[in-house]
Amino acid sequence: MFKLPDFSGIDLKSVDVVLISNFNHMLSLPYLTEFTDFQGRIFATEPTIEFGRSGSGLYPAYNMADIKACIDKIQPVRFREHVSLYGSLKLTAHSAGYCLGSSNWHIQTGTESIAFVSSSSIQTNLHPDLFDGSLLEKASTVIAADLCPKGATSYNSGVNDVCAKVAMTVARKGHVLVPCAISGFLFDLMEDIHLHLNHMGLTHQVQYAFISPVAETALQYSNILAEWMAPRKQEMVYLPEAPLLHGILQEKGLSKTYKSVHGAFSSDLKHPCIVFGGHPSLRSGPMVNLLQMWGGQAQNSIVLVEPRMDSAASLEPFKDLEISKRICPLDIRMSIDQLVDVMRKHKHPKHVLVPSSNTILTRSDGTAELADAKNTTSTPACQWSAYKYAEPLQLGIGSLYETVLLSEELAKGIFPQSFGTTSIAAISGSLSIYNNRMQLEPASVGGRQILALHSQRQLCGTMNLNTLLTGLAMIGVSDPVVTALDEIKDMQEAEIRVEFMLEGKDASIIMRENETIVKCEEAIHISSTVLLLKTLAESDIPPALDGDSHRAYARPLELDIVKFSALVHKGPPITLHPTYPHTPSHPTRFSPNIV
Amino acid sequence: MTIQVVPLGAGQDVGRSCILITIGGKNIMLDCGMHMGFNDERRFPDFSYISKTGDFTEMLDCVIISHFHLDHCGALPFFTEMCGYDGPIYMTHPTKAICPLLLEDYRKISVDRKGERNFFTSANIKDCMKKVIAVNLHQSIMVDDDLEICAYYAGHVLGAAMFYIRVGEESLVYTGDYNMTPDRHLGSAWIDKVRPDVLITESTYATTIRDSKRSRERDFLKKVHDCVADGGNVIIPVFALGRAQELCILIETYWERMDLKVPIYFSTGLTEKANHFYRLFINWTNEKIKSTFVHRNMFDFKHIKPWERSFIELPGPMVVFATPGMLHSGTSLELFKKWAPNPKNMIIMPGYCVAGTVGSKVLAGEKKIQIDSFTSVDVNLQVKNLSFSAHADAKGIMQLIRQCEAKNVVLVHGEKSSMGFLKSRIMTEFGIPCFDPANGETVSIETTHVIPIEMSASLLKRHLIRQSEAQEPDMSPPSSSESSDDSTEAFKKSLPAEVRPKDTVLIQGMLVIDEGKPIRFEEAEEVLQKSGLAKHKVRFEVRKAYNATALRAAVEEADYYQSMGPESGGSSEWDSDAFALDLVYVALQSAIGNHVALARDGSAIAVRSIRIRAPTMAEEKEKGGLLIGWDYQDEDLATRILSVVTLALASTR
Ligand SMILES: [Zn+2]
Repeated sequence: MFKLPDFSGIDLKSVDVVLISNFNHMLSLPYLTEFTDFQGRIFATEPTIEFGRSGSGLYPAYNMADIKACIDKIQPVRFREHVSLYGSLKLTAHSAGYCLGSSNWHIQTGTESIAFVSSSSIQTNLHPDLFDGSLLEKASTVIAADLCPKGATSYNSGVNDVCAKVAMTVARKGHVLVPCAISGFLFDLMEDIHLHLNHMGLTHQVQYAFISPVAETALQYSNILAEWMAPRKQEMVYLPEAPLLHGILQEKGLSKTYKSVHGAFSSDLKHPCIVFGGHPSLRSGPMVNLLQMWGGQAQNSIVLVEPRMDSAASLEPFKDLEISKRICPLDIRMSIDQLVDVMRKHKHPKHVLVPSSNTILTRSDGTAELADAKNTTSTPACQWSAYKYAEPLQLGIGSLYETVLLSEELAKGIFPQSFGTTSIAAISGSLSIYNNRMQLEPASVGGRQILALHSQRQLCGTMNLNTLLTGLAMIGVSDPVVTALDEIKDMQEAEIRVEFMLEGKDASIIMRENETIVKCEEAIHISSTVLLLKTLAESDIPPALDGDSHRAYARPLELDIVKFSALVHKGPPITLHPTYPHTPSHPTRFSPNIV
Repeated sequence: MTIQVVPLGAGQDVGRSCILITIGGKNIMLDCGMHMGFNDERRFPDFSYISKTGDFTEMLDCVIISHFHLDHCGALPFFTEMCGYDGPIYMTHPTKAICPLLLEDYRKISVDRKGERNFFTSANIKDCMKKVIAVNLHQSIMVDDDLEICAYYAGHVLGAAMFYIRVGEESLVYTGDYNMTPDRHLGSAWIDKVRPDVLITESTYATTIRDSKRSRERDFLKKVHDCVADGGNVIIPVFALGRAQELCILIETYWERMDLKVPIYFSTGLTEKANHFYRLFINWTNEKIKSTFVHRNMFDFKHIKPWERSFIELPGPMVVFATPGMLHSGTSLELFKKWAPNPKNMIIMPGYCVAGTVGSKVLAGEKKIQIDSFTSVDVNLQVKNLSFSAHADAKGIMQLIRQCEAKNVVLVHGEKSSMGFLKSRIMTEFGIPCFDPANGETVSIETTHVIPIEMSASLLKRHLIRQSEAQEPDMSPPSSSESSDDSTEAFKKSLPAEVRPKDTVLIQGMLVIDEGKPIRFEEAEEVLQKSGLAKHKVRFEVRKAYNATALRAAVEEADYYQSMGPESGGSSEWDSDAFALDLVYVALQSAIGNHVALARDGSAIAVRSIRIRAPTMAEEKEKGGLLIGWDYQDEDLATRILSVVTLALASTR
């Protein structure tokens, strides 16, 4: 009944992020957070967290403290809220339409993105917020999970059957047992049953009971989640009315919640009762008690609606009881055919991975033939393949580049060097991550001075004597003394020494092949640095394959203004800004100021 | 680019909030309020400013409403149904639910009571609300391809929100009304570090500080208590939604604590509906109420009972919360008429009243009030005016500016005099421009440019990993370590350090600019290898002069006072360089010793490639001073060290 996934073969310490799609899919989370060396972050929607918290009965293996510690580690998000991690990973939850807070996840790094589509429903008449397919538009890879199995009864085609069965039972004054969790499509089923009974004129002699230790919390909590519901349900709060029918029935006293069948339940019993709750496995809990109480009478019914259970096996121990039994699994999950339809709407080329159970075969090229009605195969626009349990798959994605915003302030201090059509510039700055963006700024300002202490700058290229002399002339230094020492004659590394006066103080620059030494008074060190950087930047760097590069500093003067330097220093940065909309979207501006 | 801000209302004023902004070529209206103090055309903002021809839908990209108070949404049906604006309108779910109730109430006073014509109708309100798109908190909404908006919790009243607005790389935050301290039924405002180019903030309580709110509450409770203790009745006219709930919780808790038995009533009318709203939108209240709502609804009061009409004949004393808030009809007016003549009784007016209503006359201190053509009342009861609206105080406003890291601030929704005080405080404390435009006055703000570049993912990853391995406790900027009581920050702090995201990391590499291609930011080694360029090493050797005589004099003076004897100074040979090095070493230890490793031997200090030493060669000695050398790669550290050295040696003078 409760089995942990097989984590062997996974280094849990290396897992950065866990994304939860709905509260049915987090039973192993306390194990992961409390009993392994997992240290990553966990994200889920608020309702998922709250249902996860209150559904503590669902975690038989843990104690309350473990569950609390685990739940407290989950970071809540809302649909379409952008979460940015480590600056480069963007996560967004999109409504899956399956239950309150159920989500599919859009995972983006750089220009690549993955859509993880878990339990989803594209039915539009249910209470959860509608399936939001927009995450598929941008995704280059789609991973689908928990699809409806072939041949399952959809909710819409099965619900009439359930309603009819319930109405028949109520009409003959029998009780109805509906074993199920107090969540998900139960809220819709209850509404449909009530409307049907109302239509048949049977509502005046029926009562509803929800039996579960968490029934009260689950029912009350679900009704404050209008913002997570379909538009039709959202509208209810403007009246103001409880968006889910059970809230209204509860208020009128037509429906009640009980922790168990003991106590008030029996004394409250006045009419034929429709009981929701317990566990669909029928192995323990209130449904077992009720089957003992009511199972002997043929006018009562039990209806099994849970699609994930082997209902026939659940009923096996009770097969001799008189009670009328009906297995009518309702499945709201998206089917493989629906997924194919949904994918067809998107033009953007995609790779879609589905569980191998939804495929017929995998070809030698790795593509799969699907187990849908048309046996769909891959097209250039949509490649299908299968994944199997415990078989690792390497996705051929991962962006090489991330967009970063270079601040004007930092750009001003850059002296790029050009060679051919390319310019380069070593930079060092602090990268701030805020609001899903990364911005590169000077490390030495604001609260970031400590970062600057760790900065390691770099320079490359060679010094050019003539450029240096021109640079000196431009800042008004006259008559520098140039001495050249030759490698062979002077028995040392070849160097050129330039001595001069800057701002009234002595300074000298010694140039060697890959090294320059600047000697000066502390007071003029900034000026000398700028001089040096400019000289390096403006020295024409020979193309990489040019043979005689080691004597570059001796080449004749060729001072050209570096193009990039012009862009960064003088030109308007806006020209580097390709995405910005320049034309105002309106023909006229606001009229001039009034006084 | 330029962001423009023009208040049509709420410029150096409280009431009829309506601010136009232009950002990235988009025109947006922030709030569409009415002025409670006027009943002529000044009641509504001057929409003709936007367009003389009435093509509002073409002119505006969207309208955003911050919360349900009439001074923020009261003109909306007029603007959409009578002026013809037909574009998108955004507000939160609770605002969309509650706003029509207030509008209807306001319409009733204006039309039914005061007989105004040419006013919006009930049908207008309904039609207007149909155009509203309800939003969730934190949900990113694309109004069109370029315009993104996102709502953040603002406290203040149920459903109040602040809005983040972004077009391209330019962004703006509009706060509406907000409260930075949680109160009894709402949480405190919170926003991500979105670094908006412009923050437009309310400044109602620009000169108030938080403590005075507590004392105002104590004062309020004391007045109520004194009055009932003396046998008087207290009437508190309220609107059924909003601050009434806060006042009820306040009184309820006081009654509980003081074990008072005097009955408290809340007149029905909207209360049932109000409680319904609070129940359905419990997610918008504070954590405490949210976490207990299944078992105990905070709004199911123990001491506060529903009012019944017959109670008016009871002798008292009693406290009654009565609707409507402006005494224009209903229970509140009825009670007022009955209780006004008795000086033992008290009326507490918690808010603002529309001109011409009985409430406004009471507030004006009139002693005889004409209720209608047949009735007039002698007003002898005690009148107290207590504003309990939840706004951020000066400290809260500063906190929000810090939290979102705004680059410019525009103050609205406040008195001009107190704005001036806050404005100068913001400019000095944050060093950012701050504006307080009057109505109709345009503020133009130049935004700084950023250049989008493409950074190599491996370069980024390497830096992030190195950063987390380094585990530098002092790496994050000081602003983020400052205490803040909001829950998300608290949540982040509760995470183990290795999971906590780093706000800022140091990053170094090589920009590569190829004409016609995006600028790329790569691993330096890789670029150098690819291009065949050699690294260029630069070594600096500078002489740092200092005044040896002054240094010696200072040292002798200090020694003298320390030892209280003349014999300790000057006997052995004085080595000023050694002493200067000692001074520098101590200064460096305290300035950066926690972050980088300093080494010291007899005649030099070494930090990475940096060496600070005394002159050794004859020619060096002749010039004097300390010699400081470093490789250019340590330029940033060297710059810092030079400034420390300068300070250390200068302080001896
Ligand atoms: Zn307000």
